[in-house]
Amino acid sequence: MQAEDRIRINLTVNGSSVSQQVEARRTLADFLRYDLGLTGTHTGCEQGACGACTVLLDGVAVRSCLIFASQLDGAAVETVEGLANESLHPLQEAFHRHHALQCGYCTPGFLMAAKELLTVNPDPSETEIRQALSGQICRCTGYENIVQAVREAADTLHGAKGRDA
Amino acid sequence: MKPASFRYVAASDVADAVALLTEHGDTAKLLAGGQSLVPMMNLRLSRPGVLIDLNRMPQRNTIAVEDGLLRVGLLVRQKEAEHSPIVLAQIPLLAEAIAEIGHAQIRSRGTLVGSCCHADPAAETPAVLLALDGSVRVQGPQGAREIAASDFFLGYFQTALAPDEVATDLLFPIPAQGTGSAFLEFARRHGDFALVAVAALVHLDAEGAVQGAALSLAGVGPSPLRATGAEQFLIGRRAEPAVLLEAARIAAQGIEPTDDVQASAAYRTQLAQTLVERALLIAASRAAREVA
Amino acid sequence: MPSVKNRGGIGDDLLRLEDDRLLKGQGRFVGDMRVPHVLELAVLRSLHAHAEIVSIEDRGASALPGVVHVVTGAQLQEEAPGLFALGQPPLVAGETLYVGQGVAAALAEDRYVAEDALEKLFVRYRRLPVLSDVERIVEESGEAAVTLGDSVIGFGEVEPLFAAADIVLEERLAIGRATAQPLEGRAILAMPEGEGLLVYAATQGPHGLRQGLAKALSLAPELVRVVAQDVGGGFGVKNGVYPDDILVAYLALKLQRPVRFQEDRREHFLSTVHSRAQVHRIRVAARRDGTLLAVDDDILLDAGAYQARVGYGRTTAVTIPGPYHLSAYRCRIRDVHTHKVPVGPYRGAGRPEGNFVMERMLDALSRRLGIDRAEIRRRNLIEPHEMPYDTRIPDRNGNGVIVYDSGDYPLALETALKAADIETWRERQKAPLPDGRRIGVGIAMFTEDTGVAPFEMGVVDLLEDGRIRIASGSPAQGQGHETTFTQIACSALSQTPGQIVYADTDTALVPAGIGTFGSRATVMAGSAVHLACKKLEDMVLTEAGAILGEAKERLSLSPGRVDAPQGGLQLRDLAASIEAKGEHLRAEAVFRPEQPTYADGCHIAMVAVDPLTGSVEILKYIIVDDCGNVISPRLVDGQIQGGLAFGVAAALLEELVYDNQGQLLTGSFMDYPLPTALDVPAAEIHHLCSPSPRNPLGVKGVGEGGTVPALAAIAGAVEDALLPIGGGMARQLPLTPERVVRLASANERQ
Repeated sequence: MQAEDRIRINLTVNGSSVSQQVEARRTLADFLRYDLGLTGTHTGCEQGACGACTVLLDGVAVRSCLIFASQLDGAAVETVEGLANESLHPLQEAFHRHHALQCGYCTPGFLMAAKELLTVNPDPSETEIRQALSGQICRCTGYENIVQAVREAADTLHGAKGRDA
Repeated sequence: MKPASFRYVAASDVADAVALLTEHGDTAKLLAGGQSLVPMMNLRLSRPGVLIDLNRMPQRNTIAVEDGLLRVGLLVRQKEAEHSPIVLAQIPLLAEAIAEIGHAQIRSRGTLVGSCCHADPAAETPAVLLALDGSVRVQGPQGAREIAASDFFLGYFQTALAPDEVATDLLFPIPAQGTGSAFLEFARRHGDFALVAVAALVHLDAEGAVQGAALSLAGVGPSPLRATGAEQFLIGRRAEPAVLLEAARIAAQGIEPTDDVQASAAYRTQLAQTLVERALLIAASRAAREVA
Repeated sequence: MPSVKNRGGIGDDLLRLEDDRLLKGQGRFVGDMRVPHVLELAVLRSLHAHAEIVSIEDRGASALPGVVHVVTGAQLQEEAPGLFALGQPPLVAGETLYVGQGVAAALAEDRYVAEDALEKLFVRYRRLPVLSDVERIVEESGEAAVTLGDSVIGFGEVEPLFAAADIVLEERLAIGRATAQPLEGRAILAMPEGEGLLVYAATQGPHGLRQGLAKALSLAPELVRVVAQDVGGGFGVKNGVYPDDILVAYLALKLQRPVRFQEDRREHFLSTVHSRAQVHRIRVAARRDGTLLAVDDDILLDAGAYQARVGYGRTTAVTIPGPYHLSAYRCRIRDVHTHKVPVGPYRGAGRPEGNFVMERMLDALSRRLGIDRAEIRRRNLIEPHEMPYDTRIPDRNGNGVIVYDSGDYPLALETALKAADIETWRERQKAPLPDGRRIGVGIAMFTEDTGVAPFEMGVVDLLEDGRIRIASGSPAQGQGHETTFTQIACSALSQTPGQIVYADTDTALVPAGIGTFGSRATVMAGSAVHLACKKLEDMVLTEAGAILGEAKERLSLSPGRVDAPQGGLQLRDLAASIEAKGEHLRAEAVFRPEQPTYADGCHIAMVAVDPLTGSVEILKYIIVDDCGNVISPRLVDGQIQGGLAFGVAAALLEELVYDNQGQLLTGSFMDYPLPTALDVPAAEIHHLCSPSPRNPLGVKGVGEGGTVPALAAIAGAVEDALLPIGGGMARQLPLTPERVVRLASANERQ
C-alpha cells in the first residue's frame, strides 16, 4: 500500500454511514466536530489527559484526540449525540436528576466513559465508578454528583434488564 | 495543538511493516495504540513523515502460553491483558501492573508491546518484563530475533530495536509454583506516571526460606533497573520483616535517581525503599500462601 | 424576602433548566458554532521569558495554501499603533516579558494550517536577564524591587501590642502559583457587522470585554456587541480583555471576515492569567489565654509580567482577620514584577490565601499554648450580638470600612464540630492505622465578602406570547443562572418556570453590566432581576387594571395570568393588546448596594497521612456554610462541592513551577495534577441561614465558600496527623507527597 496524505474512509457514526476523504492528520475529535458537525464531543487538552473527547470506538471508550480519522475505515463510532432517542438515555436522565453537570463542557466525555463502564460492569461500586472515571476531568462539580448519577443509572439499566428477563 | 502533516499507510502484516520501514527510513514511525506517540505528535514534538499503522494487521492480538512463556502479541491492548484469564492465572503480577497504567480509556487503546518500545523509564510493563527475565521478539529484514529485556531497555526512550525492526511479541517467563508477587506504584494521582514503581517476586521453599527473588524498579533511572544486590541478599534467608526491610535498604542504596520537577532524588530513594519493603511483604505473604 | 408560592420559586429544589442541551451534546460553546468563512487564529508565542525580538522572518508562512494572513508584532504596531496603547500589547513588538506571550499570528481556514504557518516564522531573540523568584528579587533589590503595586492596609497600632504581648509568633507561609484550567479554554469569535463587530465570547464579563475592545479599536461601544452563550467554566480567569481578544477583533474588522480564536491547553498554561503565588511573613501577637491582639503581615505576590487585573492581594489582606476579634492589624502587599504569566483572580481571588495564613497561625498558637484548635478559635470569634460588626478594616476601595452584615460564627463552629463527631476522631487518632498511616483533623473558619461592587442590571420583558424574559449582565459559566434567576423571577412574579424565558447575557439586550465573579452573580444580578421583575409586575398590573377597569391594588399575578376579584386575564392576551398598540413592556433595574454581604462557615477535614510516602487521603469532610437565603438548594450544594475540589487542588496537588529562566516546568495535565474523582471527597454539607439585610433576597454569595477555608483545613489536618511523630508546621502549599514526607521528619516537637 502507498502512504497517502488524504485517505478515504467509510465508517458508521451513531449508526449512520459516513464516507469521506480526510486529511491523514485529522484527529477523530476534529473530524467529528468540524467535518461532521457533531460538536457535542469537546476537546480539553488534545493529549489524552482530560477525557473531554471520549467517544466509543467499536464499543470501547477511547480518547478521540489520540486517534486519527484516517485509521477508522470500517469502524463504528458512537458520540454523545447518539445517546438519546425520543427520550434521554438513563445516564443523561441521571446526570440531570443528580445535578452532575455544571458548565457541561466535559459532560459528553463523562457520559460516554460511563456508558462503557456500565456495559462491562453493570453493577459497579462507588469506588469502581471513581476509578473508571478517574481519567475524566471535571473542573466544576467536584465529582460526587457524577458518581451518584452513574450509580443510579446502573440501577435503572440493571433494573430494566431485570424486568425484561 | 494540532499535528503536523504526515502520510498514512496501514501495514497489512509484519513483513509489510518491515518493508515500509525500510522504504521510508527515518521519517517513518510505527503506530500501535498511539497513547504516547499521538500526544507527542499533537504537540509537534514528534513529526513523522510517514505513519505506519499496525492496527489493521490480523492475528496479532494473541495472549497465549507457549513453552512456559506467556506470549503477548503486538496488538494486545493493555485492557485486554489486564482482564485476560490467562494473564490473571499465570502472571497476576502483570495484571496488577497494567491496572496502574494511565486510565481505563487509555488502556483500551494502549498496547503492551508499544509501551515497551516507547521505553518510558517510569512505565510499568518494562519493569515487569525485566523482573521476569522476559524478552522481546522482533522482526526485521533479516528475519526474527529475540532480545532479552536486560538488553532491550537502553535508556530514556531508547531500546535495542533497530530502525527497520518491528517488535512483534513480549515473552514473559511464567513464575514457578510457590512464587508470590506484587506490583506497587506511587504516583501523584492514580493514573499518573509513577514516581517510583516496584515489581517484586519471591519464591519460598517449604521451610519459608527465600529460594528466589526478583525485584525491578521503574522511575528511578533512565530505564527500569533490577535490584540484584537485594535479590542476592534475600536468597536463603527467611522472609521476615527485618530481612525484607534490609533488602529494601540495599535496593534503595543501589539506585541513583536524579532530581526533577516531580520529585527530588532523595525523596525518590526513600519512596523506593518504602515500596520495595511493602512489595516484598506482600509478595512473601502471597508466596507463603502458595506454599501452604 | 418574597414568599414561596409556586413550585419553581425561591428555595424549591428545582432540577436545572439548562441541562437538556448540554446532556445531548447540543451546547453552544464558541468552538461549537458553525460559521461560514470563519478564519481560525493561531498565535506564535515567545519561547523566552525576557528577550528582545531582533527579527521575525517569514520563510513561506504567508505562501502556504489556506493561509489568509500573517502578522508580527512589529507589523501590527506599525499599522495599528492604537492597539498598543493599553497595558499588555496584542502582540509583542519589542521585548517579550514572559514565555507564552504572543509575538506573531496566522489566520487560516483551519487551525491545523494556521499552526503550519507559525512553524514557518523564524524568530531571532536576544535574551535578557530574567526575574523569577520574588523573595530573591526583594532580597537583592530591597525597596528598589519593581512592583506593580505596593500598598498597606490596616487599623490601629500594631507595634505597641507586639511589644506588650505574652506571645509573638512569626512564620513564613507560602501558597504556590496556580492556574484555573477550565475545561474549555478561552474562546472568542468576532464577526463584522455593519461598521462594528458581533462578538461571541467565552467570557465572565461581556460588558467589560465590549468596553475594552471598543477602546482598543477606537470604536463607539455600541458598535461592539458581545454575547456570552454557553461557557465551559471560568473560575475568574475568563474576565477582562486578553491580547488575543484584541487581535481577533482587530483582524475581523480589518479583513471583514469572521475570526475565531480557541485557546488550546498549552496556551492556557502559558497565556491565561495565573493566580495565588504568595509568600507571607506574618506575625501574630496574643495573650497567654489565646486572645488575639494583633496581626502584621507582609505579602510578596509573584505578579508576573503585567498588572493584568485588579490586585487580588488586597482581597487577601482584607480577608485575613476573618471572623476574629483583633485590636490592630497591618498588612503590606507588594505585587512583585517577574517574567512570568501575569496573575489575576481565580476561585476565591486571594481569599483562600488570606484564610490559609490566618488559620495556620491560629493552629500555631494552639500548638504553642496547648489550647485545643477549636477552643482557640472559640475564644476569638465575633459574637452574633455584635452584628453588624465594624471590623475597622478599610474596604477594598479605601472609601469606608468593612462592616459584617450578619452571621453566627460560634454556631457555625459548634455545628461543624458536632457534625464531625470530633471527640471520636480525637480518640481514633491516638494510634496509627494498621497500615501505619496517621489520622489528623483540621479546622478552618472563614468569612468572605461576596457580591462585590459596584452594580448589576436586570432587564425583564413581557414577551408577545405572555411569557417573561429575564436577562442580566452576569453570564453563567456553569453556575446555573438560568435556573437560579428563573426561580427568583418565579417568586417575584408568582409564575412557574415555563412562563420564564432566560436570555444569555448580550450587551445589545442589557445596557450595562459587570459580570460573574467574586461570588456576586446571585447577590448582584439576582437582586437586579428581582427588582426588575417587581417593576414589571407593577407595569403589568397597571396595564391590566386599565383593561379590566380595576384598581391595580386589587389585581395579582398567577402563573400566566393576572387575577382580578372577578375574572382577570391571560398574560398572553395582555401582551397581545400591548403589542397591538405598538408598545412593549420592559423593566430595567440596577442594584447598587453600599456594601457587600459577608458569608461565613466552618470546614473540618479528617485525613489519613502516610508518613513514609507522603500520601494524603481525605477520609471525611464537613462543611458548614452560611450563605443566607438559599435560592436553588442543589445548585448551592453543587457550588460548595465544586469549590471544595479547588481547595483540595490548592492544598495537595496543583502548583506551577518555573525555573530561574522563567520556563514553566509544569505546563501540561501530565505534570500539573488536577484533582480527579479519586481525589475529591464527598463533602457533608450543613447550612446555617443568616439572611443578608443588604439585598432584597437576603442572599450571600456561595461560589467561593467551598474553596476559601479548604486549604487551611486540609493543611491543618495533615499537620495534625504528623504531630505525634514530631512533624513540623505545614507552611507551604501544595502539600505534595514530598513536602509531606519532609514535614513528617521535621522534628519540631515542642
